Amino acid sequence: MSQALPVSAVVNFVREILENNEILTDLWIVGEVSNYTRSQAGHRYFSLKDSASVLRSVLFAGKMPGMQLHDGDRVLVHGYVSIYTQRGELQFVADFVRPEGYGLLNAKLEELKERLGAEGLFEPGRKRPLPRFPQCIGVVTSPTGAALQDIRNVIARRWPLAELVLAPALVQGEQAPMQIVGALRALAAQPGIDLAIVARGGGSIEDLWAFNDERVARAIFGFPVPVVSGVGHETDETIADLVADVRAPTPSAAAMRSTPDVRELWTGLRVLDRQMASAAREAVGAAAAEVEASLGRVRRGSPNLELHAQHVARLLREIESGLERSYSDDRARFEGVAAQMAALNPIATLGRGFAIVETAATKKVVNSTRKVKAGDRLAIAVSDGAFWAEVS
Amino acid sequence: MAKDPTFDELFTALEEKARKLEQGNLGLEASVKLYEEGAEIVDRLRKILEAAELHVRTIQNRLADDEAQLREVEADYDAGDD
Repeated sequence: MSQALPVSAVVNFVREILENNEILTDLWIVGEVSNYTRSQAGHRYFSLKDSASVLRSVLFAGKMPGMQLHDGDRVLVHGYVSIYTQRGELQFVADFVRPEGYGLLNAKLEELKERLGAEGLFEPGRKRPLPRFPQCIGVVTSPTGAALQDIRNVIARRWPLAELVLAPALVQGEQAPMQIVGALRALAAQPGIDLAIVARGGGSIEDLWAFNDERVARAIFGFPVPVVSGVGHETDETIADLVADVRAPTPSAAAMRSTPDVRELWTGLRVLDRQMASAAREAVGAAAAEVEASLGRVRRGSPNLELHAQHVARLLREIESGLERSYSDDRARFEGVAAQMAALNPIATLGRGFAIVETAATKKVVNSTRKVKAGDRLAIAVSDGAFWAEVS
Repeated sequence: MAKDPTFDELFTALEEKARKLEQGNLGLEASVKLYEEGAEIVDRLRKILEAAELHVRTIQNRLADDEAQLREVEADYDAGDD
């Protein structure tokens, strides 16, 4: 180096190196608090020490504002290493503190929860509704675990229409988070996935740790369709659960939340079918009542005889076609339903006193006065049979 | 070729027809037509439900980039070890 540098340039240079170091920017430290002071602005200055070393530390006012520290406290602290440039002193900038007795895993979990929560990853408002009838369900879990079996069994029973797309991943151990992220990426690239289940059977907090990983949380958050989580047992709540659109307590429950139940659908279809049939029957009844009214007017010698006759003819034609069409369909194959349908079928209207009229000679339905002349023989079909009549 | 309607599409169409029918005031011809179309959809849905059989397929994990890089580094390391 050919020229002397100002002090601040050196200090800033070192600071930049520290603040860009991957390890030093995301650090957990365990130590004892000493020299604790609180400034008027609310910043908390203290030293972290052990038997051999001391590290000057600060918890700025914006971070954990309610947090009180005391000399002698044994704490777990998260933060990054920097330099207090005015003094050229190494300084640890803390953002999260827990008592040491808390355990590192718990402290890490809480720190991440707080951070992701503040970022909005758990917002109820961003939870997406699940599709009513998913056709293609992605599953991220171990290909050999009980969770997959449980999910398969539940979906085969409840919603066998679905296709399951398994994106296998280790769900435990150091590799697990990246594998889960990779599996989600693979699923996201599949066309037609309607939702994804991320699941793992029960285990210790360490076993479930992959589901508390920030990368997994962000992959779930960024997944293009809704995600249902089913991790561990009832009592376990992982970060994956908090980010997921729907949290189910177990893999089986996740499969249940993701699918409709065919047995309920059978019932639903029956109900809809019945509603429609009775509505159609009502329409036939209304038309028949109208025919009756028109005939009454004809009988009373209304001046618009021809008009009424046409109206009656049209309605009769419609009734007939309605009866024919509903009569000729092949719902008989579904026996249980067919029985119900028969009871509701518009043909039953014949039982209420309406008839189908045909000419004896041509077997054509008589739907107009123009189709008959005096002396024609007619076949009149009623609910329980038919008889002959003559036009006069 | 037109894509077959999904179960969801069929079911939604059925609900719509049932709703219209229930509202009434359609006249006989329209009612019977709706009823007929609805009954046909019910049949289709039943057939779909009856024929349903769960399919499962497995896809390759797409290891995240950093993981893939790690693998490459490990592979290099192994190669250099020989």
